[in-house]
Amino acid sequence: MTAITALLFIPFILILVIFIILRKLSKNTKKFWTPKRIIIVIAGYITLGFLAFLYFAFFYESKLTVLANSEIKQLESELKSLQRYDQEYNSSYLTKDYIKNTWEFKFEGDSLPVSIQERGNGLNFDIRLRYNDDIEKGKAVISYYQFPVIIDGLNMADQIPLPIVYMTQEQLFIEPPLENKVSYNRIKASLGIVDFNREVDLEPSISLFHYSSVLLIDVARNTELEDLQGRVTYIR
Amino acid sequence: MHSLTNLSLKTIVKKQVKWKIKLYISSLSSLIILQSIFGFLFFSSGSGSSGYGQQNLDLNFTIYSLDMHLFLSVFWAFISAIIFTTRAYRMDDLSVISSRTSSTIANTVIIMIYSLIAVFIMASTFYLQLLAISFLKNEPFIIDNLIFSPTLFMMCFSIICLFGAIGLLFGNCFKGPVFIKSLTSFFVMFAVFILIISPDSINLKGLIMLPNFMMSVCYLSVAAISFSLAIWIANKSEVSRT
Repeated sequence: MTAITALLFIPFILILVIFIILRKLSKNTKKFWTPKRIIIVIAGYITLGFLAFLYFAFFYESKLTVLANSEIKQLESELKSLQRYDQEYNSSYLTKDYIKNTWEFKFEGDSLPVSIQERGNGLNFDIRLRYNDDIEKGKAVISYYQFPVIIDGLNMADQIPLPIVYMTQEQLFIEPPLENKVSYNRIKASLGIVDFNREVDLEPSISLFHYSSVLLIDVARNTELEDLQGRVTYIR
Repeated sequence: MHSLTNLSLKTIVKKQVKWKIKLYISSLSSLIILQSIFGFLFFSSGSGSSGYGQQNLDLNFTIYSLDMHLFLSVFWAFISAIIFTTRAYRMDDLSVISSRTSSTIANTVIIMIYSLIAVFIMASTFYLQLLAISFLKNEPFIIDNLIFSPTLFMMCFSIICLFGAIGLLFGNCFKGPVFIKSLTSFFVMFAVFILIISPDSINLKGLIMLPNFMMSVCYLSVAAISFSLAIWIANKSEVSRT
């Protein structure tokens, strides 16, 4: 009851106090705010705004840059060929440029059981197996390849979280990553309501596209991989 | 000693514009206060937001655009233009030689000048708000578009000018002859009725899809019609004419 009374009366008291103060000050402010002084304030305000603009134009360093439509289209056409390689079980598209992380594990014996844990939305990457002559027996090298993820003209590949990969009791566990929440502020010196209506007809691929990332397991040629969930695909 | 017959309308309007531009300057300070208050209230929310969920990534963008600043400027222009036609402001017309027609023409010129200054104030508030956010919130900014394009500048000016013109027309309608008052009241009631009964009947999609320059031309044309009507009504409602 006291709280409700306070909530009702406090704004009234505040308004009353402001009103009394303004009434007392009005005579003085009228004398003070001559047209000349108001013009100075307006000019000062516009100058401050201009200085703020100069700061953003010349001194502000943005961590992310928006790709031009031509750059995005070029990237998209390059990445389209990846799907073709993958369908042909050809690992040549998995180049060093796309490697985001590598894990190395040692195990005993000729077989490596792989357990894939799916939770939530499931796995958001493909798992591939490649027999590699350069790798010694009893060793597994796991590489995570992340391809560009274009969202609203930005490449967000660096923000995609890594999968959880670990080995316990001679068994390899692969788990999907925890969700990464990222928020950014965007400066658009334009009218959002106009842009929104105009952008509806744009090609959706320009603003949003991604290709499935790949977790590649490299093992020695005679190693037997026990795929417990049947999710691993062999690749040359 | 001067008399009305010796002075041309152009000279009277020039004098009035010079006089009124200083007299009404406080309305621009009210725009700064209005923009600052709303800039503070919507400090961290921006003009809009968008979210994406891809590959275990929850991405959220807070977009800082000019929408809110323009809406405020438009609202300010409409209210200020109506206020310019009120009795309190009309009393100031007596300080210089004037007629209702010359006063309305002077108001038209002032609204156009103030609309231009309002665009600069709007832009200043936008950049100052961004500066405050970058220092206080410490969140990264992605700069999509930092510079006002000339066509956008023209569009903002034309929209503010249009609403100023509508405000001036509105104010003049209610101090004009009885039949204009009745016609305006009927038009307002009819417009409200249409908006309530069938809000979808007003479709601005076609206008929005036009390029900025063409949109500006459309707005300025309507503003010119509104200004002309306001002057015509003022001329019709002269107390005595020589």
